[in-house]
Amino acid sequence: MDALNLAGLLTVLSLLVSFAIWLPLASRTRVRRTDVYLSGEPQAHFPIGVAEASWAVRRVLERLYSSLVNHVQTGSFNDWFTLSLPYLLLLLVLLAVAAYRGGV
Amino acid sequence: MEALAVVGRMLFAALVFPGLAFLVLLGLLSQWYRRKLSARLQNRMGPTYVGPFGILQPFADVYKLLFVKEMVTGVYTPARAITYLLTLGIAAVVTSTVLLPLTPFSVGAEYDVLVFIYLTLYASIAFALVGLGSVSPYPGLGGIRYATLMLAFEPAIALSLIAAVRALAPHTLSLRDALGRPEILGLNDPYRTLVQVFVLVTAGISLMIAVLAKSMLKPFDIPEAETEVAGGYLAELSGPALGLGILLHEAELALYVLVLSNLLIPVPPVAPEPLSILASLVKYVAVLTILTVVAYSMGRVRLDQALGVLLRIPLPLSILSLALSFLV
Repeated sequence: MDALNLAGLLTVLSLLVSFAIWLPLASRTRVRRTDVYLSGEPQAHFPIGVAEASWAVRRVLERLYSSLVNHVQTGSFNDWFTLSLPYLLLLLVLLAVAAYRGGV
Repeated sequence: MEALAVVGRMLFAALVFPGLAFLVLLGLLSQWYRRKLSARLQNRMGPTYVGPFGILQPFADVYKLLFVKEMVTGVYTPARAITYLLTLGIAAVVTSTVLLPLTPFSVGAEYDVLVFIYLTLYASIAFALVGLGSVSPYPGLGGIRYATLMLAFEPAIALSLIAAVRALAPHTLSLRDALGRPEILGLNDPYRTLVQVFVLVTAGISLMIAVLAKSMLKPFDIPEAETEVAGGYLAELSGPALGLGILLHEAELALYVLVLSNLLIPVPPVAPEPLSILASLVKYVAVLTILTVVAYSMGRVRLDQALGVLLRIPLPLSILSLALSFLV
């Protein structure tokens, strides 16, 4: 068995094990949802649409972006290089493995 | 029939030993040990009430949470999806134990260290998404902090693991071979032995620091810092979801410490025999003690400081160890 087949087999096994644990737990647990406290105003006055929901995604991306900008994109080449080097190295290792396995 | 037998043996390894049952037992016992040791360091008692010396306290905590009949959550929080994410993380962690040569049922392949890295990534992604999946800003903040730290500790873990495995099993790059049949060169080849030891030490230090960050132990516990973000990435969870979060954290930490300790101290090799398993557990306790003492001797650092530490120490060390591993 090679690594790719092993990864596929173990992924399927993980999905099976996860369902075997999750289904009994989910079926015996009741979920009680509590309303958002809106200073006594009814929830119906504040409908939440798709545009509002995307706010959370935007906020996450902004946070990640600002972390990168503040700590990596500082104007110093070294900061960028320190972060990108391991990713490039990992990519090179994976490429080397792929090339070796493919007989290139 | 042959394929079915292989899957059956893998299922046994994933669900019983060294998978789910063993890893949960080991993880919760380790939590008790960590809590007792940190209590001694801070002049406290630690757990005392449940079981002798409080040893059953983590089991009682998780049992109570998992078997609560009602889960209370915010109206927009996808509770079922969050519970499934955590379960998938646990399943991926326990399935990756199939690669450890602790039973005759373990499986391996050339380059299976990459499979191990891939499977254990599920746990990190689950933790980040659990925080981000909540509508409340407090868990969201914890999730963002964890996702940001992931950018620094995941490459360090991957590179150090590849370097250590390359030093011990240079021809196969297999985690199972590195743990079960390490190529110890000894005094026959002192130059390469010296390089091998140097690679293992640098990769070990890098892995220890990165595992502290991955497990959100001090000084990298800002994603779950209760006093600063009102409970961190698990703040919105209750009942089974919280119990699964604790289980995933403990199982992931136990797996990493088990692999790290046996890679760092490759003698005696891991084998499916009682004495060998006992030796592996002794190494496990030694490394867990070092990690706990280091963690609880430090104060919490801010996110930018944590990123700075991770970019300055484990990342360069992991790159150095990987470069040196090609000389073995």
